[in-house]
Amino acid sequence: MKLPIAWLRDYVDLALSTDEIAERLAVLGFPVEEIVRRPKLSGVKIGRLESVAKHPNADRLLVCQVDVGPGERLTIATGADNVAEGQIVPVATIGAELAGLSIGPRSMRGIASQGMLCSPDELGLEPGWFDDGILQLEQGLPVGADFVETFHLNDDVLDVEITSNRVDAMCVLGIARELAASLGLVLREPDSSIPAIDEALCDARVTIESPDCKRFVAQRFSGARVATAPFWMRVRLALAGQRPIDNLVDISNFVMLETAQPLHLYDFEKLAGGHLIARDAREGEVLRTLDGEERILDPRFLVIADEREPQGIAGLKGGVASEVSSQTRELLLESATFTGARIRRMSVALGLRTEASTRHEKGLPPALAVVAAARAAKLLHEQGARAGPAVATGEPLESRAPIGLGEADVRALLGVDVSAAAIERALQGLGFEVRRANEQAASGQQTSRSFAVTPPYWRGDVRIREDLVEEIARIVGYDTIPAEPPPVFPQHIASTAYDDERRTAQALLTLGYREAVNFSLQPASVAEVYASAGIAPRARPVEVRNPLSEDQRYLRFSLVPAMLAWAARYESAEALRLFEIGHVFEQGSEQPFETAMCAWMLVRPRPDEPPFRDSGFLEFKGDSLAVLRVVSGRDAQACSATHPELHPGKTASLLLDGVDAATIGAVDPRLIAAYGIRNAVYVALARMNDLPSYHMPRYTAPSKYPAIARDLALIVAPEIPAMDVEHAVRAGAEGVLAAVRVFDEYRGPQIEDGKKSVAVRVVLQRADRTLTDAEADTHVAAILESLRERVGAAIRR
Amino acid sequence: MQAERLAQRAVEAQLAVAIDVTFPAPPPRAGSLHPLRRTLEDACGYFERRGFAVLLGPEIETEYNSFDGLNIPADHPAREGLDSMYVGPGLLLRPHTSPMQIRAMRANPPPLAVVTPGKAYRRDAVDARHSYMFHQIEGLLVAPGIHMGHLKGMLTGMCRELFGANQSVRFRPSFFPFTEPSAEVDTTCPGCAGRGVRDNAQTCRTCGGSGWIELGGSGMVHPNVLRDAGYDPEHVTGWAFGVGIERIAMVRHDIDDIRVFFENDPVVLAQLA
Repeated sequence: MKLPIAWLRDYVDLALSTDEIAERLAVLGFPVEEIVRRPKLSGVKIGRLESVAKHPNADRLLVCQVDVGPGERLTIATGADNVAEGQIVPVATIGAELAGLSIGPRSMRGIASQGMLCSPDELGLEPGWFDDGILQLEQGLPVGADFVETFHLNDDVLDVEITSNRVDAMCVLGIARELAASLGLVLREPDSSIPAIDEALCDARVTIESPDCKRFVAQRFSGARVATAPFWMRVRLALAGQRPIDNLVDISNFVMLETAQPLHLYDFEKLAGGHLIARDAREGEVLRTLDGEERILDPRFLVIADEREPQGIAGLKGGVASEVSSQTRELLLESATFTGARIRRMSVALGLRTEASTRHEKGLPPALAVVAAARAAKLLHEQGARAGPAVATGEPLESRAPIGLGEADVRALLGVDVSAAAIERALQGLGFEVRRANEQAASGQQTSRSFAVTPPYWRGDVRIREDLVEEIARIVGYDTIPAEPPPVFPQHIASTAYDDERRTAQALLTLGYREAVNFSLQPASVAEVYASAGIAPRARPVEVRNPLSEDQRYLRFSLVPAMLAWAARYESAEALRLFEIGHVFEQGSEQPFETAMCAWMLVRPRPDEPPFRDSGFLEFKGDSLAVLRVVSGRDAQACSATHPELHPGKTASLLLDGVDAATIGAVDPRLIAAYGIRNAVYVALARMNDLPSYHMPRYTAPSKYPAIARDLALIVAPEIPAMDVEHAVRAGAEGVLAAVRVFDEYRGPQIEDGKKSVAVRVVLQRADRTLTDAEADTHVAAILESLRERVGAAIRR
Repeated sequence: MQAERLAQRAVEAQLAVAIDVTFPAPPPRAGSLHPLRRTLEDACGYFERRGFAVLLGPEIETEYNSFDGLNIPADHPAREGLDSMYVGPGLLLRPHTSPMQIRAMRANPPPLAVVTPGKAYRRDAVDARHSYMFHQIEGLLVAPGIHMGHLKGMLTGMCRELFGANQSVRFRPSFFPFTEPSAEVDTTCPGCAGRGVRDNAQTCRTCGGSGWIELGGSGMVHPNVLRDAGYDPEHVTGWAFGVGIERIAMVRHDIDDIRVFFENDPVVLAQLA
């Protein structure tokens, strides 16, 4: 909200600089988003054109004699064509500083010009919003007075943010009230007194047919003519960002910006039956609104209609049919209160927000309507109108019950002592009525005073004790709240999911994996790429009903696509390791659900190796087993598995005590191709909720006696997995086997067709004594026998 | 003697060798946490050491937990700033981590001390300063005798943990339907130590010259929220806060574009490790 400091001065005497005012407003909870610095003008006087004559030497120039105060008359040449004798205009004298120019003596075609008549833009005013040419002021202003001081034109403008609960502060008077309370200054309420009400001017009728019109104050005026508003009003509106239109429209805007209550003026003679009805629109009713739009209405909309048709959309926009024009003589003023939520819904439905609707939708206090009408009446009276009586229709005004507040409540919530006197001062300054209740003895000798506090009508947001404490805190200052450590309370809530994430991330980073965070939303194209690669995503994706763009239409069904896109983008000759922990989403039959997943990925160039070997897979498997070891304290076993995103022949489940802890594998080559990746890519996927618990590893005393290692070269059928070979070795060497490991595999010449050669290292050791070579030979023979029996292995000669 | 001399000479020859110690080392295989997780863990760690539990929650939330249970009924103007993405009737991507307040209170009796980090979503385009997906930490302490000074104390401690020992915290009045009184939380700008200008006399680009950076919202939990979650506001009081992780991490690493966090450029991940 644009807040001209010049306007604030109408209600409170501020002796602060712009920055000090901005700082004070921030402390009160109204942060200043921008300070609009006004050009610093000087040397401009209010002048009267005594005479206007043609320039003797120039057709397009005029020479004016200008009265700028007792005994001071200046000769000024001007090129403007809107000047005439008798006009009151701003006059820049020699030495004046204007917006972007300084005025010195100069000769215009032989005439020494002693100053300049000013146009709006030279005064730092919006050019199109005021008169073309020289700015015209109204008669009656003090000739010779300092123009800049009279209208506080050098005061800056603050753009203030108002929180949605404070509709009472969405106006200049509301902010002035806050500043006055905070600074301990007197608030000057605007003058709403008029000498006489014409009781006969009461020929308007109002009917409320919808409960969403809470209150409707109507007032008749007669005798006002459309004209230009006085400059003080025009300049306030313009600085507040509202374009001046004419005196009548300007008065309704002025009162709204001053008090927050939107008003509307109707040409009374155009209202059928002289009767306004607040009712739901009928299906298909049409209204041309003041912005020229043709609006087709339905019962969602609350309208103000005459006996024939809608004349305006309540709280949003008036209609063209009863618009005030230069022919208007009889006026009807509307000052009404509506249900905020209804206005908000209407505003959304129409895609229309106005200065009026932003206030109405926050729920204006019904008691404000009559106050604003009285203020408008005063201003209309100054424009020559006779006022009829203001007639209020609608719900009776709520009488508010006082809220109980104890001195101790303030301390309990804020942690700081505020004296009873300071509490009273703070609340009273903001217009609250404070009555002291009986003093009660509280704990110990301290006495805690309590109060009965009644909020003023404009503070509908203050309902409970805590609201009052916030008001007190704002006035005494949030900076008085101390910074203290809270007491520690015993509690027994486990941080399991978070701890799981931490130890998983920690394990992966130790193994050289870098963590990524990818977006959860993705376009349809991700699923399309999968489909075109022949990969059916496991889950039905969750669709966002109201996406802002196509890129944000679907929730991710897997962590893999973003990782593949990353692999394609940053592919290099170096191996890359990445992981992510995040949620994936899937549409269930009833509702969407989500799963916390961890994915890790290795991207590395493909070495030259036979097809039955994939050293990248083995490297990745090693990493993955190490991750699970750190996370679980146990060693996992790999067994063959499948997964839709992984190569059917290069996928394994990692089992911990028989429970599936992760699925790892080479990414399906069709996906690799679809993402344009050249390197080999391996991915592991683990559900965070199924993450194995950590088992504390147990100690086994290492043997003090020497071990004997034997390497065995075996011939087996190619489908025999290494795991089975190792099992067979274990079965044949009960009690003496320290380690077994298949360390090589070979197929090709020297090996008969349909067989493969595997090399196994067997380490034998006893815990109680040294193993002899002869004993070792016996054990090896038993191992070979077990291998022959269990996996059909023969010794390679 | 001869043997001794030979041994001596061999030792001398060994000692006479010098290598180029400036020769580059081969790159280590180094992993790293994402800068957002690092900041999140640092913040959570501060609270954990003071007896707070850390809870994670779902990103798809009910409208009730996101709004109504937080004292933001339908048509409340405060919903305006929480423009959400819906994925089903009454279901949306949570626009803040505050629904975790309700989940935590429903599941546990007081006293309750939790922080709940996580992702949140708003219907917003992505540019240098905005992202539709972002991370927050929500903090909640409810127990007898808790006041706003305790909130300022803990947030001051958190800021010192995140930015350094000289941080202070400023509260400014604000409005959130689920807290009363409510406060915006600012902390001393670490980019200029609160002076508003950097050492090179330029206006600080971190805080725009104000000397403060905005962290998020906070306040005393509204009695309606306590009551709806089954707590008795006559017996316990509590505070809650919600701060953005991206903003904090941007200040800590001097990053001026939020998109940096979601590009995951390996060079940048290595830089910030």
